[in-house]
Amino acid sequence: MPPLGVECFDDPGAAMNDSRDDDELLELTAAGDRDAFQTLMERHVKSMLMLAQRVSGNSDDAEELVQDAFLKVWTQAPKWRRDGAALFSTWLYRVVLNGCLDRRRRPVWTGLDEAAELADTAPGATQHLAQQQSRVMIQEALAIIPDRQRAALYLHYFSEISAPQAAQVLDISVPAMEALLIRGKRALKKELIRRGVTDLGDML
Amino acid sequence: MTVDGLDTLIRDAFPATDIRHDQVQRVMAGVFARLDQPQPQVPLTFWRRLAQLASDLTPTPQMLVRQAMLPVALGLALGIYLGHMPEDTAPQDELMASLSDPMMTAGY
Repeated sequence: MPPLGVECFDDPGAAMNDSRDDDELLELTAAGDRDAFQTLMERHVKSMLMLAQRVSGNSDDAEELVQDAFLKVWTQAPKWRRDGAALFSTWLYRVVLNGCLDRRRRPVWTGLDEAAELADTAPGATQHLAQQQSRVMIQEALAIIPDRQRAALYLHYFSEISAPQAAQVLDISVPAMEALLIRGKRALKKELIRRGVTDLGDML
Repeated sequence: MTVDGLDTLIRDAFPATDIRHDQVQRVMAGVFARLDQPQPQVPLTFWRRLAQLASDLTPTPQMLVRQAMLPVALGLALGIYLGHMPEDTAPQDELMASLSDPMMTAGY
């Protein structure tokens, strides 16, 4: 196998065209096949990065979280049951989401500080600043609501998966997921109102 | 603020961002780099060796269930069989006779 470097990952479309399904690739990964592992990563890395980046708020954290998740895939691959009910992508979403939730328990959100350093004269600076402030306020409000509700909201707003898939990620039924979302939205709304947000206009 | 307002607020504050190709490459290169890192060797102390030995000797829960299945099933079958066996009771007339036996009535 050639040494793995940046030049090896130049064809992301190849992973999508690969006829082998995730389970087959996992089986090969469990046997130590790095090419299969690479194909598996190419197939899922974008959606995982998208979720992690929006939840964690910065790309460095997101990249680290996704790396951790894929390392877990490598180590857990031999234990993966092909006949199990869960899809690999569902399990991977769960790993990334849990990583995000664990990380978000640490108070590292520095959005406002970064926003303050923006040059006032930059085009769209005010808009950017307002968006940054909204993000910080929403993240702070999200940090207060219960973990399960927060996880449901993260999947609903920040991932590209459907409601049934999101329910599988959280290991609950679809009606339970919907109920969790309603409770989460209500709690978030209450928290935002407590912080003085009454409508979109107030935020901007 | 309506629920729709909340949706708009969140979607405006966190717009969907495109994941750049260089980010994807960095993540994948990072994963392989971490896989290739030499794993730190933990010194094998006496207690660690003992714990390792104990864990090697202890069967997994699945193995325990598998091993215990046959004796438990045999015990259960034997219990059911013995439980259904006809009782060896004395005939009624023998019982009556024994009640009227001089040994039983002695002292009255």
